[in-house]
Amino acid sequence: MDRELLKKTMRNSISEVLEKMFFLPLDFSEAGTPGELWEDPAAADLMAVRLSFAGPFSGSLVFLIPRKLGVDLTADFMGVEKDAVPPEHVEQTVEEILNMIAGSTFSILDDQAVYELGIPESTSAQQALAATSSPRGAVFQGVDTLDSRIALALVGA
Amino acid sequence: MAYNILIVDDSPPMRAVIKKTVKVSGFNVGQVFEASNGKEALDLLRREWMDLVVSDHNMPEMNGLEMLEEMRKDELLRSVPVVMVTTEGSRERIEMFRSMGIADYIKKPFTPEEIRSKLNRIMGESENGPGAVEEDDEELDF
Repeated sequence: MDRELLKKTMRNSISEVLEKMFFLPLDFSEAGTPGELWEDPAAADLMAVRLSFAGPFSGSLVFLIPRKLGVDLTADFMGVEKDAVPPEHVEQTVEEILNMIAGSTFSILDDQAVYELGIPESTSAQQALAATSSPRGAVFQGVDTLDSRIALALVGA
Repeated sequence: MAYNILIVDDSPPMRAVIKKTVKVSGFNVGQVFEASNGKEALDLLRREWMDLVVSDHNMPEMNGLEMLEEMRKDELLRSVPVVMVTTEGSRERIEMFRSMGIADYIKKPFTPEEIRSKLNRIMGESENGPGAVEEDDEELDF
């Protein structure tokens, strides 16, 4: 699969989900690795979600987002105060964000193909960061928001 | 007449957002029920009268398509209108939903306005009987 086409598709999907449903203004980063996106990924208090997929090609999508931004997005999405958001709702919202990005990515990529999507699962940031450094090669897309940074990576099976 | 609505999605925040949208959609909402997968939804459907089901597809235990199949086999449930609200975007999958007789299809991400307008159309039609998918529905053109 063409890496540039994948990156372009991932960018379109991120925009569609985060701008349309979460009203989050964003720009795309040229960073090619988590280390280039966050000064110290280990200190960024990242939440991570992984979703596997199978179809014309298979692998998984990994989404990384600072916990503070996850709380902000969840509060806005549900229309509640930030202090009133239970941690499990933050986790579930971030999982749903990746679910929507995945569906959007594959329908933009090829709407004739059927990709079976797994259930998005929260994972440790450490594992997710390791996955984005897969020797099989991950397609990494960083995103700058007004005051934060997030990332989506596609890891081949 | 107040309509009972069942929202089926494994994501509680997504159920909450759809529920809020349904409640402000302008039509007369009776009770809003929630289920986190198709199996729970079928249990509820067999116990409570529902006028409309709004369902995700990609869920653990029983997905939306499997739930639809079970509903179509059941004489009492086969005429309940189902709106699929899902990330699924492949033509083949959408055709499959349509062949199972869904009332409409909404792709995630959606805006509250999209949900409102679809539900208003379906519930308007259901005054005269459950609606069928419009063949030239622009939402299905990718």
